[in-house]
Amino acid sequence: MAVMVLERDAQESEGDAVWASFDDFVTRRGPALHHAAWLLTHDHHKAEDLVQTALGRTFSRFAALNRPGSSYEAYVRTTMYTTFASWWRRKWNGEVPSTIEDADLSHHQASPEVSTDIVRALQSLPRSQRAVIVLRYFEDLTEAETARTLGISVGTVKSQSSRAIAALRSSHHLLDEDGGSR
Amino acid sequence: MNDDRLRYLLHDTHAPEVDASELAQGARRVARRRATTRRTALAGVTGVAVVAVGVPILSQLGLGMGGSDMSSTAGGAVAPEVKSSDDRVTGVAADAAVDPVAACAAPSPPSGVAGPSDVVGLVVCSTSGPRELSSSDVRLVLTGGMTEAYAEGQVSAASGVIVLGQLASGTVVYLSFVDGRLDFGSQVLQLNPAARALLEAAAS
Repeated sequence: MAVMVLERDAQESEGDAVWASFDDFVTRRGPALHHAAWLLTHDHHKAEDLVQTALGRTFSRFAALNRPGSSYEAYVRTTMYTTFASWWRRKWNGEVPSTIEDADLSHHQASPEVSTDIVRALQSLPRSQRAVIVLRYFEDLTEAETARTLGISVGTVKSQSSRAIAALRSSHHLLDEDGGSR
Repeated sequence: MNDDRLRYLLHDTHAPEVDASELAQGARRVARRRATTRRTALAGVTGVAVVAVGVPILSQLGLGMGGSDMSSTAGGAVAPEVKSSDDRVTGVAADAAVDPVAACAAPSPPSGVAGPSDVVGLVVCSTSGPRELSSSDVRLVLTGGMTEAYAEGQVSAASGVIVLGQLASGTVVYLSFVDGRLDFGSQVLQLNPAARALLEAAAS
């Protein structure tokens, strides 16, 4: 199972690619960025806003960073996560549990219930831990890369990750009927 | 749950569909809006700084004061309530023909600069070196309700210069704001002691 995931990541990871145009980048990487944003926000519209804002903030740097040796996508990703953190620091943007949207789960290898439950369990985490989990286990960044993206220390990444995984293990969303973690 | 299981579960979630072309269009809208906001803020900071900071500097430079009536500045564009919101805001005496940058650098007040006039002279504010205006600069100059005054166009006719900083070579980097037009430039100048003191005080 892990091998399958890693193979897919290798195909999808195009962080150092040089894109034909800004639209080309958005067309090919937009859905992946949106997926990560959706895991962070659990709201389709907020996820779209988050990606759009990150792209808008980095748009002027596209030409400068769209070259070998630079990674425009890494820049967008960093901006997206820092924007996520800043949005949710605002008092008016009180985060409330939202209904998980009914996505098309029919093509999933994991059962729809498990797929939805991991989203619910993720939602129950503090946003800093959620960001670390999404970066480490969805974006597949290393601890050092995660720390750089979020502007925190590697030690903080480790501690946040450890706490988050412990919380997920004990989350009632992911417990089997017999009490074991799924 | 081990790491691989968590990785698998996260990758196997299914986010709602997103229209990439809409994303790109939205990003361009955000970029345009940010550019507009940035230009407006820069112009606002400049205009506000000219009035709020420039007058006491002129006074220290010995360029003369035109009294406390803001109607004597910038074509009388500032409303009385603005004046009352910040007692540093006063009328300025300066000759319209005087280059504010040159005045800033002059070891003594230029000749012919005395008495009331309709031009705000010069401003020194901000930073220990030339760089983009930052939020700290905004905090520096946005005092006494001047933001609202600028937003209403009341000080848009003010003229002056914000010295952003001076390079070791002596080149002064500045923003000039003349009749609502914003410009950026640099010039080799030696700031006079009063202007330098204010620049350093503003940067500290």
